[in-house]
Amino acid sequence: MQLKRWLLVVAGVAVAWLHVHVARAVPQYSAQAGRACDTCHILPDWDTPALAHRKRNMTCQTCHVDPAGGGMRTTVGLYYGRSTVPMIATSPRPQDDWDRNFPGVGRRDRHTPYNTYLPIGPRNLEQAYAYRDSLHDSWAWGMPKGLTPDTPWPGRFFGLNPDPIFRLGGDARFAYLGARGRPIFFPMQFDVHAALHPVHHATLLANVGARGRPSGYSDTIDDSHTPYFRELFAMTSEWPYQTYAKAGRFVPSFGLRLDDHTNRTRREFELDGSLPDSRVLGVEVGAVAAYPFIQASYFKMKSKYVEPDPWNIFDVDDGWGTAVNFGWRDLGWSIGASAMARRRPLDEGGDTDTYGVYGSINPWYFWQRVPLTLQGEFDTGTQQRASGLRAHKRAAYAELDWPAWNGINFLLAYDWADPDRDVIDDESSRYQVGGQLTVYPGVTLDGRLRYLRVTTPAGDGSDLFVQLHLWF
Amino acid sequence: MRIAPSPAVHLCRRYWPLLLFVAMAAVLAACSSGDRTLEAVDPNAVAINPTYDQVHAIVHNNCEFCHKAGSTGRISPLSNCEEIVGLSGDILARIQDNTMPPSALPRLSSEDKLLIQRWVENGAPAPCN
Repeated sequence: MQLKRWLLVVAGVAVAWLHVHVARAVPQYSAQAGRACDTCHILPDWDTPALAHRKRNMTCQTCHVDPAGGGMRTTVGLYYGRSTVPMIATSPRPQDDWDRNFPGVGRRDRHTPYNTYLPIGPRNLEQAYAYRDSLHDSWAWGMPKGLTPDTPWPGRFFGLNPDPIFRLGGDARFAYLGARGRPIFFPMQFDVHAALHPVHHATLLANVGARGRPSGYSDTIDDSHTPYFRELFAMTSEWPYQTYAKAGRFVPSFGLRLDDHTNRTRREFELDGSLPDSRVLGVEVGAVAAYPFIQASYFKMKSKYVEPDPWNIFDVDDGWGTAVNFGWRDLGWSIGASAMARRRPLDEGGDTDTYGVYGSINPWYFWQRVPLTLQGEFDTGTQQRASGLRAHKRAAYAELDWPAWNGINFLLAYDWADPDRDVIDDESSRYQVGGQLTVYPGVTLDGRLRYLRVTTPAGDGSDLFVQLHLWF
Repeated sequence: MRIAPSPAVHLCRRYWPLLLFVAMAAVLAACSSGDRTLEAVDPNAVAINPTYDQVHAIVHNNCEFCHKAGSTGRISPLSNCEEIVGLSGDILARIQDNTMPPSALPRLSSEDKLLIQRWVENGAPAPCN
């Protein structure tokens, strides 16, 4: 009861804060975004729009339609994905990672002083406009009614539609797991996103996807959750300071929403983005501009042991849950905290209480000689066992990224979990070394060598995990 | 006169994010858990008499994507009742010493291990027995 009271107080403060303040959190792209001028400013004159309407700030909703992050991208996210992430088709950017890391070797920009942030791509406006004209938006149509002078304007994102009535998007991942025994090829993700945005401040988002089965393509197609509504919610957003409210099926905001759904900071706390079980039916309100952010949700969910109906988002059981997520996300660093509680009968999975802290830092923003990004999270909490007694869980995650050049990112990652502190044989640590290669916009190859260390030395193991991620 | 920093100080200043990462990993790796099995901690954590259906669900979700029907060679199929019952002792031994699932795949939870252990100790009751 004390916890419930505490959560209610925090949620109350959160709601009160919404009236006076703003904002939210993300992984390494966000932490790295402070390195590029046109994260906020606009070519050709480097204007600075109002904070809430910059091309990109440090929050999830800047690049994703869902303010909690992940899934369908906004025009800003697509622009960032085309101009900054890949090796080819980069825009005229005020950054050059090669110059940054190897200023004495193969430097392309020999005219711009190294300690300035001037653009190095276009040598003149003609080149900038030529790049603008090369960008097209094949999957977006129309402009919503009710635009204000502050909303994005045509040309803001070169050839991309800045604020379409309807947009389609997609994510597909094909995975290879080279483990002891035999290699496994399997479909990891097939998502199609659609966002309807008929009038300013109103959006309907649907994400229909498959549940990828490691046993193969035919099992994925035959699965009861292929396809299913991974997300379906109505949202009013883009209010001052990026205040929003959404209602429907979603994953509640908690901690860092990572690409790697197997990470134990997600999986141990029923936040694994690959599973239908992680989806809840609820309401979430938040304010997610730069730099403070806060989000609070109340939700109902299906029993932990029964998968929710693929299409009926109202298929929930007796339990309920609430979550709050808040912090500060600045240009070169961020810090945040989350809390979540689930209350449900034992035969539906029992009660859980989870608390997390997380943060990131991009030292390059402060010191150019340290071109790294560090992010991490630590979660702890309790979960009722079938007997009714509580198991104490802990999980942690840390990742170090080095964006060596546009399109090339190297990483070291570590995650660890102790699902039950009282039990000896369940703890494990996983180490990863690898990186991402994005040669062309929308095509990313992610490869990692992974090593798992468990409590019995004979059980330690390693594998090679490679995924081809196609996105638009 | 300005004194040049020592090489160690210089390294710390230059590579402090990496050092921080390593320190974080070391601290977390050093965290230790309890020294008892789940059965000793909480005998009622799972059913006293687990059913075959409960065991099959665990095998289906954690093993069958490698141990498919028709698997040959080093990989024994675990796709039906006879195969699971026939290899129940091996299954228990492999999950208890954490050698299965292999590689960096997540190992079974303590609840799942205890459930399979009790099922095997009860004689692996199943519809195909």
